[in-house]
Amino acid sequence: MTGRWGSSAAVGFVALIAIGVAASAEIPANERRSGFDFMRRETQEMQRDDTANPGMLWVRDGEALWNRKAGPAERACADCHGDAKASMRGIAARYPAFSAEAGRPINLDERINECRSERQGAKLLPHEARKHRAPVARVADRAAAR
Amino acid sequence: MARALSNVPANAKRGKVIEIKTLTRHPMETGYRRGASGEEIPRDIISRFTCTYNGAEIFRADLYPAIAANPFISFFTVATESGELVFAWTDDHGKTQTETAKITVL
Repeated sequence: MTGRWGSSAAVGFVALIAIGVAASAEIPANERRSGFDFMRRETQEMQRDDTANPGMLWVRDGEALWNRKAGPAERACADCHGDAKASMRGIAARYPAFSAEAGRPINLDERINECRSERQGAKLLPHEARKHRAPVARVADRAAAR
Repeated sequence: MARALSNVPANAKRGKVIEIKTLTRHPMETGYRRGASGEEIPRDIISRFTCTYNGAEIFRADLYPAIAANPFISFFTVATESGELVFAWTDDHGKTQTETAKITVL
């Protein structure tokens, strides 16, 4: 008796999972919504308000560093990548990613450092240093697709 | 390097109550903490914040060591005339950091 119950429950569970997978696979890309869309309007307002977010100080720093030339190559981020508003859109969401050069997955900090050493010939920025966090914040802010 | 953020509505109707939000970067070191080798970390806080609206002071606050780093201050005022709001944060060493915002009153 218990055996039969157990097996039918298991079949039901598998069926539920199958339905779940089918349902999640059916959402077309243009109909996918962020959790932001399900928030109340007041909560959305709060999240949109950059003034209340101390992280924006680093984003502003990043904006300044983006155009500053560095290293013996005398190149700024903007010289290769142009305007970060367009070129860095959605980039942060794609990291960590596999780097063929490093032969392992790298995160956004490491990717920026790679750019610094190879293109600018500049000193590597220490992990979590203020000057390093700024461009990371700047690029990550673009991922938010404001 | 960016030191402060402020949020003032760009336009407002005359007589309307507006919210002003400011945030500045500061460690707000209390003076009660000790470093890794036991030495006292000297106190370094913003002790006064003021806001002037076309030269007249409309808001002032004294800050104390219990206030967290990167202090966020928000307050209300009445939009009376177009002009400039100047925010000033003064620290223990007497150094002042200012930020200005423009407002147009319709």
